[in-house]
Amino acid sequence: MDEQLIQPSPLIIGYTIAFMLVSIGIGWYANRYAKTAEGFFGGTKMFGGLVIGLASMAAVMSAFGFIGGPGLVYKFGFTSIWMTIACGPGFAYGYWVIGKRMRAMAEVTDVATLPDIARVRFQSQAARGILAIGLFLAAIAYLSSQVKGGAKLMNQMLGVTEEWGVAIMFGTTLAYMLVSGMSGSILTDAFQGLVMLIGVLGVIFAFFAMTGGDFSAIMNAPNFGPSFVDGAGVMPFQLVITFAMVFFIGVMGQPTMLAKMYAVKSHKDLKLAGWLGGVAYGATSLVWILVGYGAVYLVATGAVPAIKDLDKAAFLFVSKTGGVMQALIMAALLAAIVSTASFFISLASGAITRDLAGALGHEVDHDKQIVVGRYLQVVVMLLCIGFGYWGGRAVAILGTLGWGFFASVTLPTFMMGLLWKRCSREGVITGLTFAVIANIALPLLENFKIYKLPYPYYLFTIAGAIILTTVVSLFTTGAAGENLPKEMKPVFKL
Amino acid sequence: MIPVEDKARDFLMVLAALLWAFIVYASWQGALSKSNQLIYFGLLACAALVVVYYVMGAVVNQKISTAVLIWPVLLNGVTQAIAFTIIYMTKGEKLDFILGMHPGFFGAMVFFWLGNFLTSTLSYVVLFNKSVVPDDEWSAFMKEVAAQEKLH
Repeated sequence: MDEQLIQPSPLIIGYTIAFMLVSIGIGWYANRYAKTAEGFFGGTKMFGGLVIGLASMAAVMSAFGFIGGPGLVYKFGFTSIWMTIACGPGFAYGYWVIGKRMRAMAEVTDVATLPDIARVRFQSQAARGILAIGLFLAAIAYLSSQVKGGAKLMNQMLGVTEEWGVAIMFGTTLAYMLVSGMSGSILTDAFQGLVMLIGVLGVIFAFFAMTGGDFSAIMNAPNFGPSFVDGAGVMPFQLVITFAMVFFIGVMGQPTMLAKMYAVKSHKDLKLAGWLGGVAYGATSLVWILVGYGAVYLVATGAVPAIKDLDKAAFLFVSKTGGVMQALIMAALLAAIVSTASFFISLASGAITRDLAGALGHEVDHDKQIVVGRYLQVVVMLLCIGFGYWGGRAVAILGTLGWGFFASVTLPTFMMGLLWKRCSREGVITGLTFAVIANIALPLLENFKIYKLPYPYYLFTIAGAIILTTVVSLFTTGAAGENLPKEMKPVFKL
Repeated sequence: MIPVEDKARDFLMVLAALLWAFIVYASWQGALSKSNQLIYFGLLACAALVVVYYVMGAVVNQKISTAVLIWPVLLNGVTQAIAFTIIYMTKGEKLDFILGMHPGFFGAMVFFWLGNFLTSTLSYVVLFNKSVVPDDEWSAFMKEVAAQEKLH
């Protein structure tokens, strides 16, 4: 078991149990929305802007943001913060660019999953299948990378072993996901988003009480210095390009956000969903920033000794707050993990049940899809726990997949596909194929120390997929231009 | 109103692809030659890329108003370019703080974070009914869709 930085108090344990029981209750209540495949896998056209805004934020902000992010600030200063300050305003930018067109697709066809839209837009089972494979792999990778963080968190919160922590956390999530699928994920995410926002208030209060907002102590500390407080940080400067762009433009390529765009009840709900998600995410960014700098401050002023395990930076900060604050902040961390996990369980099971099977010519009967989806949720969960906990080197490789993988398969398909009539079936299949292969090959080459790009490989895969889709589309005409299905044409007038 | 028709979209998509290519080049070559200036140019290309996609997304029925083009679209690129310039100019320097922040930190938080919120989020709220999803455009869309079979 890891070093216990937080002492599990009755307050923390009680708040955690209440959080889990309420989540299960909401998830079961959401069963009323999950009677059809569209409701179970997509929550399509079912929720208002408030629910979707909070749920989008909760699903996008994961364990990486609340635990990994502060660790990166502790080690490298501002560099990683570019990810989070790009992402918040990127929400509304994404809604400006493709929000109405994604929602419009739910009127043009029956949408339950993202590959449904790809199939209809490009009239292609191949595009649907490759996208489903990409989403499934990235979802498994993302979820697996949450397992360790979740285990450490439960260990600190409840004092249980990491194995028991995994069982409690993911068992709770599965308890409501089996009942209500994506609809349950969306409704519980909204509640968990509120818990995260309450935790943010605790973080702001604790940070200023602890540091007085004084960054000069960090700049003047011999083990830190000006690079820790400037706007570029200690990591190589080219990372600012990747982080600023991939997380500003790329947020509209995250399934956690894309799938919400067709889950709003009416087009009017896009307004609240678009701004609330971004503003709420912006608020939670403060956890990344303030907890990270809080940990740096504590070490810079000699209040605590330096730490080696970066994931401990968040717990180090929380350990110096009072009992109530600890309960609020730790519950927010838990909410961040559970909300993201529930979304990806649903995404991965839907990608296989509905899309990959269909693309291979074995469309599962509409009536049986929910049952098959439930079985697959259990399989996905077990796969991720096993992989995340005991996967060793494979986890290190897969752990880098996720955000960039999603953006490289979804930006060509949805952003280009819905903004550009000339985006062709051949173009998007080329872009998707490249993205899936490159996103697996490049981290393998890195991990086996064969070749490493001098910048994050996913910038290359996203750019490559977009460039290839553009070039091939200029010379091909499948489901593009005059060959665009006539039912799609109204979408392009919006 | 400025027309943005199919030909213009072809041009914008090709421009976007070129900008992506330059961004990758600037990251790659800038890292290998340790040229922060080249990386800075890459960052400016990022700001331009944001504007290109914004133009295409903010179009309604193949037109974009001049007002929307200025705010939020172009101003979004401008605020990002200012933020990138400040962090490039102040990187690693020991300087006097502005409002308790290093000038680079200040530039990133105020011009990139807050600036982006003002040009994407605030504009989205203020212009939603008029320029993002106007009711009459949505009604016309729904009428057209109602007259056709669902696409499978």
